[in-house]
Amino acid sequence: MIEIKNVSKVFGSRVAVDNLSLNIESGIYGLVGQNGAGKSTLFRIIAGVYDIQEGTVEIDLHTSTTTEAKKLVFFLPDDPFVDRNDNIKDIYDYYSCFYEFDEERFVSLIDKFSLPKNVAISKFSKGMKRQTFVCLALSIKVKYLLLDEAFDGLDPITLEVIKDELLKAKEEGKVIVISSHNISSLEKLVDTFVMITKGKIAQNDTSETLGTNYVKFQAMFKYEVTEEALRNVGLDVVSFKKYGSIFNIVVMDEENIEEKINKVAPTTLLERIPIDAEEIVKLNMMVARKVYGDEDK
Amino acid sequence: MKISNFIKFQLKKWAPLFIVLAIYCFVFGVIFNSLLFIRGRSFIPSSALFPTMIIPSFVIPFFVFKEQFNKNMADTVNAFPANKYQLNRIKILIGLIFIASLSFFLHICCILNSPGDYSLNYFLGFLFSTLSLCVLYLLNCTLTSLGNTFINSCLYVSSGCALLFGFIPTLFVIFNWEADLGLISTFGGVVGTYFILLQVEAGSLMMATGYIVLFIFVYLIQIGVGALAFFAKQPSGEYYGVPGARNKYHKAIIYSAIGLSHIFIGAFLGRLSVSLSSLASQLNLTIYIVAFIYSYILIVIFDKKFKISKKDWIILGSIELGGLLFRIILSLIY
Repeated sequence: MIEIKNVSKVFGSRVAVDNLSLNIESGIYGLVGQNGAGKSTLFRIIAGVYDIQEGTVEIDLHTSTTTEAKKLVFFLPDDPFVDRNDNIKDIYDYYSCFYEFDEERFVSLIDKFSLPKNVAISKFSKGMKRQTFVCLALSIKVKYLLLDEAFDGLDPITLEVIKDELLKAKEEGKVIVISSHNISSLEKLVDTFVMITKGKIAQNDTSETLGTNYVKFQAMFKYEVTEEALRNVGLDVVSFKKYGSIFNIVVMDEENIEEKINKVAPTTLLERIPIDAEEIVKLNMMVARKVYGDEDK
Repeated sequence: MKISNFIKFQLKKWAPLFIVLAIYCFVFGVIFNSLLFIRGRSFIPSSALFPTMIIPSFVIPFFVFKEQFNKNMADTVNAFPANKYQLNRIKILIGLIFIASLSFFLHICCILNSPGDYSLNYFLGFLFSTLSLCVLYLLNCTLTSLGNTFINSCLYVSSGCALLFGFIPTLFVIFNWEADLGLISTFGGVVGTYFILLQVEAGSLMMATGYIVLFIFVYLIQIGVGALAFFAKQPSGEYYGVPGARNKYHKAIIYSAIGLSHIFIGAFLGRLSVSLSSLASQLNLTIYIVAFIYSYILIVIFDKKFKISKKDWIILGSIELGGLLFRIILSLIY
């Protein structure tokens, strides 16, 4: 288990991670949050790239900066360094100095994506470079995989293949933490969503509980209503949008919502509609901004 | 960590650098000197190879610590399951072995190229020059390891060397007016080593005992600072490729070098005024203004920003004022 306890990291006057605590036990975790929320910093703290200023990070009871802990983790940064002339074999040789590899798997993955083995990686497209490093990450025999913006620049077909491989890795007992801006790409893959805002955990949901605190309505009113009017009847409105005469309203779940809405104005249409993962995460971000403020953005 | 694989990988990466340096040293050390020395002497001495071979001692440390100069490398290198000292130590040793081997093979080349009478002094010269090059390399490794960027490391190396090799000449300028300036300047480490090497080859250390003691003193400091290279650990990831000092005490090296240069200028002008008083008084103000501008530029380059901090202004001002005060005191004494 990765046990993060009250970790803080400050760069100059900017607090990147603020007294954050989190346990990463099993399955696939999706780390989501706005730009600059502290996702990459958190990854780097877990991987031992950054020294910790406050708090502790333990990986299977080893402090994250020790060699024993690092043996258990592989961190794939959003922009991994590669020397100008290095090809796939060179990076394999380099990483195999430090990690145990499943060579067969690496070769089969490289072949699956038809990546050229003798061409310098610096000449690859962004997506190809990403594929190469994801193949590398999936072939390294470690318990924990930290993938920062792992799906950035991947086409939908490659993305599906990689998601299948990640699910296979999960079945093998690996614990995977992925951060991505593309929230829809994490759908049907991630077991637990962890939302970070301003270096703090804003929400920690399993895929079953994700979004259960929100209710989304599609409504038509007999006359014009405002967000303010809905708030006045005691509803905690998270999102209020109007498309023609149809209103899409998201409120925090509570009792008698329909009754309260009808109090504002009689409706000709009022039905609950499902919310997808991407929208839930966006809503979470909006709520987090309200709670933690928005002065940085 | 598979150390043998890592060494193999590093050797593969460094091969082009080693080849270039070896060719350079061979061309300028052996071939060039063959043309120069062979007419008047029966063999090429170590002292002829030494100046050429100084270059690798300054270049290789930058390759040892080049990962520190790249922001993206932090994520790769610092996440590897190896302790914070291990990777640096292996790379330092690879460089050290290269320098010692290069020195050995170039001397062999010299022997093969000029079959003269090789006395014991020649081999003592070889040992001394090889040892000095290794010590210089380690010293540069220690200084390079302090920097987060290539420029910062260059400044640390130049400031560190200026401090180490400049303080004895400065002391001479202050306290021993009678000493020959040309001779004094040779007691600054690299030049001093070359001077001692000439003496070793000649079979007699003709210098005054005091000079030898001072040389040994500087040499021991070099060894001590050089040994610290093996304790150079990888910095925390946020410092990779970021200008400025990662430790507030590191910047003291730059300030001290600036301070020493001001003391040297003050003492030198004081000395000049004894013999050439009119010229010295004309030079005074100009030199102090130039020295201040140069100090400011040094800090700007180091921090990579024009707006230097209030603390930097105070320190630079104090150094400038101290230098001026020192100059006034000296002029009163002499």
